[in-house]
Amino acid sequence: MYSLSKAFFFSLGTILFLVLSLFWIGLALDFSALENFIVNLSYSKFVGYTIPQIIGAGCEDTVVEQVFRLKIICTLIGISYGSVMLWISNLKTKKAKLLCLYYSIVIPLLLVLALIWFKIIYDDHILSYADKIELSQFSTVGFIISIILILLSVRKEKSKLAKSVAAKLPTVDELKTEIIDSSSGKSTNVVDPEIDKEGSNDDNASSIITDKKSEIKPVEEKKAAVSKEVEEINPKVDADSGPVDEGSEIKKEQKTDDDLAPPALDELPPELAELREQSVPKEETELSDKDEVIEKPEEEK
Amino acid sequence: MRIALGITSFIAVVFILFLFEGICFRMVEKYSLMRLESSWGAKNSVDLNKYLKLLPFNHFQSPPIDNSEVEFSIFRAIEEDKYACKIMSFGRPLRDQFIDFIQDSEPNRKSFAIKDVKHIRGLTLPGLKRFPTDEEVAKGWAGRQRDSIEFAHAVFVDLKPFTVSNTVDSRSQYEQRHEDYLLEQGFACLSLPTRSKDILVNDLRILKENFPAVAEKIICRATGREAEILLDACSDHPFLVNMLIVHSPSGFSSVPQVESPPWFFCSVDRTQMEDYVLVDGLLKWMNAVRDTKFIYPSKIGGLMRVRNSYTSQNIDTFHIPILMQCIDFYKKLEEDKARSYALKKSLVNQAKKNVETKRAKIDSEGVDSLGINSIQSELSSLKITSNSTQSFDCKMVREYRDLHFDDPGVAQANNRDLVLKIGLNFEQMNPAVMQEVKQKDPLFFQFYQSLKIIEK
Repeated sequence: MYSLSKAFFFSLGTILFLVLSLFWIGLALDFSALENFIVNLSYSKFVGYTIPQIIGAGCEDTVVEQVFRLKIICTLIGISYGSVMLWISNLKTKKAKLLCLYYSIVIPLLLVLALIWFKIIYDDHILSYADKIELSQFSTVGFIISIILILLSVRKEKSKLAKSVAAKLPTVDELKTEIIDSSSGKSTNVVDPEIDKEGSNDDNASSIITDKKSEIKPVEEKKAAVSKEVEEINPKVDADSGPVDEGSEIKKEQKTDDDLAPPALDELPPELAELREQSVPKEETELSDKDEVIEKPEEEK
Repeated sequence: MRIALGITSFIAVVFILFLFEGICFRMVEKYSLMRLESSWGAKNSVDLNKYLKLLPFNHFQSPPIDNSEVEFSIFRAIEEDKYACKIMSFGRPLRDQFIDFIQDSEPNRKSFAIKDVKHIRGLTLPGLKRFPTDEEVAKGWAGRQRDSIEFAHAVFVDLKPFTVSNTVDSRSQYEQRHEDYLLEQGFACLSLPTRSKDILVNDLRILKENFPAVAEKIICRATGREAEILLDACSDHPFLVNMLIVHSPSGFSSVPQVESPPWFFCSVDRTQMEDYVLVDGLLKWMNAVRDTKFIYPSKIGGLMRVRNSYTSQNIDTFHIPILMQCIDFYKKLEEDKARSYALKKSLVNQAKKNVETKRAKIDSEGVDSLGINSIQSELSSLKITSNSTQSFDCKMVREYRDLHFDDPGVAQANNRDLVLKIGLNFEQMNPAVMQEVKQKDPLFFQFYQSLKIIEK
């Protein structure tokens, strides 16, 4: 299975690397438009500084030096973001992917903000009114984006259960009271609520249920004894039938893990069925008849 | 984990506070000036704040060390440029305001009174008026205390080449707006063509005579050849001007040998840096200004910037905060001087009044030995106070005082010390000079010889 986010981030990283390689190929082949773009970028100003000055160029550097610095910085940004996107695509959970994406935006943004502010604080640089507005807009937007992304990254995921279902779930207090009640021997709500409800409505039915409860216990005990015998017989059968199929063994393990009931008599192979019939005493057969009797009221419902 | 988280959050909080303080200092003028005054004290203070000194503020930047080797002047100039940027960091909010004022696309120009004095034309006055002080009335600036006089914080004299027509229309927008800004700040402005040192000195004296309350303090700015003329003039008459702003001077003159020369700000082009004799000469001017006990002039009294294509616009605004600080410094000194003048005057008046009342009492009641003694003591005390100012009074000392009337050191010194100091200077110059002085002012020569013997 391919995840959509993985495909998205992987393609984004790949595109970044491709753009980077095309950028350098374009420069090597002297694409004038690209060269002009870089030169114009090196002349463009932000809060009174040229872009190369913000990224550390000296005021007396030549245009060629400034353009080269700009190319190097563009390349470094491309490589780092391409690598980050590829790394994000390899992350397993969606939450981790988003977290890395948020921080890959927040950390550089805050660093750039701090860099510009420290430059303005320590440089002998005069800010005109237009520069101040530009600076305040950039700082405000950058700050708001950072805060939003940080809040998104620290947000806890809410449970996706429907409200109706969530409302039916027992609270911690309810569970505690139930445990206390069960330890003190009181009747609990663990019993099937439908039976409880009906018991309150119909006295006859409640009497039948009490009989049923008293009869269920010996039946269950008998069933457990039968299952034990079947387990004792099964290894013998397995040894006779040679190598065991892996799938059937897994199924068996799953059954034992989940504490499922022993297989029904109809499902048993004929040999085992015969053995079982021999071993089962007459009481068992009587009990099975009683089971049918108990099941009758349920069917009536 | 919790400890690491705590340390990280502490560092983050400190970092944010540090950044916030820096932003306030950079952007808010009132805060930057408040921090400056907290660090350096009042304008006439002589000590730095000992607690704030521990913090890494730009205000406590020490000036570059003087190197006697002329060849190293270039490196020193570059260091001076960096030092000037750091020490004047408090002036950036004001410079921001100034550049906004200059670049205002639709300026609302106010009208100011323009006056001519003799051949000097176009002195623009800010239109400020106030009542004169006692001292000003005594000096004759005003007839009486109720007459208001027109004044300015200082006159900003922009020296221009004599050939260029200096009409208002021919000036650039920068110059016009610069003048407007200064006028709004309470400075009078004058664009003065000059071609020689003597003409300049003469013109400045005319200004001082005709507008004493306006031209009490003079700030001169010049570029190139005019800058050299200005330096030459101030070398001979150091107390004529309070502050010099020179850009790319073509030459320089020797530093005036006085206790407190005028404040000095210069800028040199990158190409001029190769002329290390010129750079060294300018550095000597800076050192001379900084060599004072007062904190403000010792830190920002002498500054140098190196001009290039990038810093050029910044340097055009750099003088504004220095100018303001310079004027505030001289104002503070004047306040102290005026206070001491008023105090001295009131003391003398009180003593005279006491003597007169006692005389009147004696005349009415008859002679009493106790009364005579008290009058004698009063008279002797009066004599002592007047002696301190009147003893060793001679023409030379009076001229020296007139010449250096702005110098607080000279104002506070008594005649005896001045006679010794002036005589020693003459002797050091040349023995022939002393002979000339003897002919010109024999009383001074007599005083000096006798004091020299006493000192020995």
